[in-house]
Amino acid sequence: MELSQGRVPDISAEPTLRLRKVLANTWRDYIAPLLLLGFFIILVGLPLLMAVLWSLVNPDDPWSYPNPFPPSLSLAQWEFVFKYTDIVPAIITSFTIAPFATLFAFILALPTAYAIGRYEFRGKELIRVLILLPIVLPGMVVALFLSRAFDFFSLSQTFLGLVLGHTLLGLPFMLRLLSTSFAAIPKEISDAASNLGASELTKFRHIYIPLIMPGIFAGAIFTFIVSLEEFALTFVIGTPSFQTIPTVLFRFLGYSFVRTNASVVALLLMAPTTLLLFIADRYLKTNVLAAGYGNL
Amino acid sequence: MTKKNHSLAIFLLLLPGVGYIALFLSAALGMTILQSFGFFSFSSKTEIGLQEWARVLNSETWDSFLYSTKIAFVSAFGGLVLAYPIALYLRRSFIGKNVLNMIMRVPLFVPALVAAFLILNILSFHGIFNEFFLAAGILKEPLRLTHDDWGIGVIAIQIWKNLPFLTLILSAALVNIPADFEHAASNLGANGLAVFRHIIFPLSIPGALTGVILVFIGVFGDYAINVIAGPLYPPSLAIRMYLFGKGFGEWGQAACLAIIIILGSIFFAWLYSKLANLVVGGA
Repeated sequence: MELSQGRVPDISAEPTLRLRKVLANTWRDYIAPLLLLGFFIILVGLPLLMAVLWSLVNPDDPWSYPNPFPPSLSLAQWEFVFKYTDIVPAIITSFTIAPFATLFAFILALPTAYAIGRYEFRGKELIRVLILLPIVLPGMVVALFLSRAFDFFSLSQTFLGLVLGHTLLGLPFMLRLLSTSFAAIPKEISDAASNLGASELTKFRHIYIPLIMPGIFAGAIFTFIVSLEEFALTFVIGTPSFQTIPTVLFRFLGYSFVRTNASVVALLLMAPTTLLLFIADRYLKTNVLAAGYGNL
Repeated sequence: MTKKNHSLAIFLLLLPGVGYIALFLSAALGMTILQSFGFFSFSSKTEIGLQEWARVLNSETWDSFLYSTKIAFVSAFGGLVLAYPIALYLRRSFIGKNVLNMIMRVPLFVPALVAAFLILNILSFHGIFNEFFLAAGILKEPLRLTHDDWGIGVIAIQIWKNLPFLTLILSAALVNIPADFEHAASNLGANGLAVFRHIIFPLSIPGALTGVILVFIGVFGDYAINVIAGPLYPPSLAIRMYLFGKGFGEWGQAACLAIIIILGSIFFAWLYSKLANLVVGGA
């Protein structure tokens, strides 16, 4: 194996020096990167593996100190969680709120994102900051005092209240992804359509909307995930009338801590969001996450 | 379209998205500010003034403030220190880089509550971390790493969760540094450390600043992870706020704590921006 291929000019034929160079290159090209990779595999993989193992513990053959691994595996914990806890209604509630919140956020964001993306106007920077506030402000502060305002309008402990709250927290993502997509439409295309006599409405329907489809897709995925993962607002405004997957997980991690139940629910919560984000990442090619955060 | 019509049209287009956010946030923040001065007090008769503030500003609130500041500071800057070498290393091409990029990013996709559970599992009294170091003979007895007074459990969860975000934002900042800068400096005889100190570090400051501020604010106002893994005393500011509001019905005091959290976040964001300016200016 030729390790020093063209990287270090071979100026010396002295064997010890050459050996040292080969070793240094081996370290640089293979050992160091693989050590780093190994470190991250443990850092990320081990916690996930432990959660999976805990969710598969066999109740008849308990996993306890000092066994490093459970002696036998079974699906009994999954069965238990689905049969005897309120996870099924929670899953239904979670997956009912999320599409509504996504749809509301999309309807509200579409005209606004169009204006931000295609027009110059005074105060645009201020508006860019304002639309980020729902996600920058501490979640529990927004949740608690929005719930006080909701009390006045009898929106606390209602499904509509939850949808409205989740819409608020999803809007920043929807607005950003849509306005970036609108801004990315080349001026030439829009001008060409105008020259051919297309009105602004025609352009919007037949040119802009098809062109921003990837942005709509990304915005929908992000808003959906924000809603699925949302905890503070649901906890304050929704519980105990409504449970979602995060509020059930919080209970299993807090005052009714059962490690096996918690691991099942944790995996249940993680699966859809991870899947959706990986799809978004793949489908959109450009790095949405980094670009999104980078523009903050 | 006349200019006036034009701006009216833009206003109408902006209204649904911006108006919705403005309406809900002003409702929430307006409620907070009014209640902190005694309005809308349902538990007792309305008394307008600073008495809620007088009740809140005590040594227990101070303990919570110090605790929240401490864990936020350690999480943000600890995460940054860990993210720096990774971001620097990721600029080169090396074997398995794509796999590393993918694995490294997983915690970004993991919901915060799930991240809390995953790390709690590892750090618990008979978790694999303690067992490993006991078996290796490095520890004589298991360490208490969750619900500890120092907040180690909370910090570990926050760093694990935020490390990919900090790495990505630093990488984005480092990409913008022209490679010529470094080459020029090396050609002029600057060693690696000098190149880092005088070129890479100052130029990466804007990215680092955004990352630190966002992580700091997130941890500073955190409720859930502190309930799950935090110490019994002091509670984080957000837990204290929740307790006073939902627990005791003392909404005036809860509102004061909410304002402390918001103003604290703004103050530290301002402080870090100032510090960043100083560092860049002095380099």
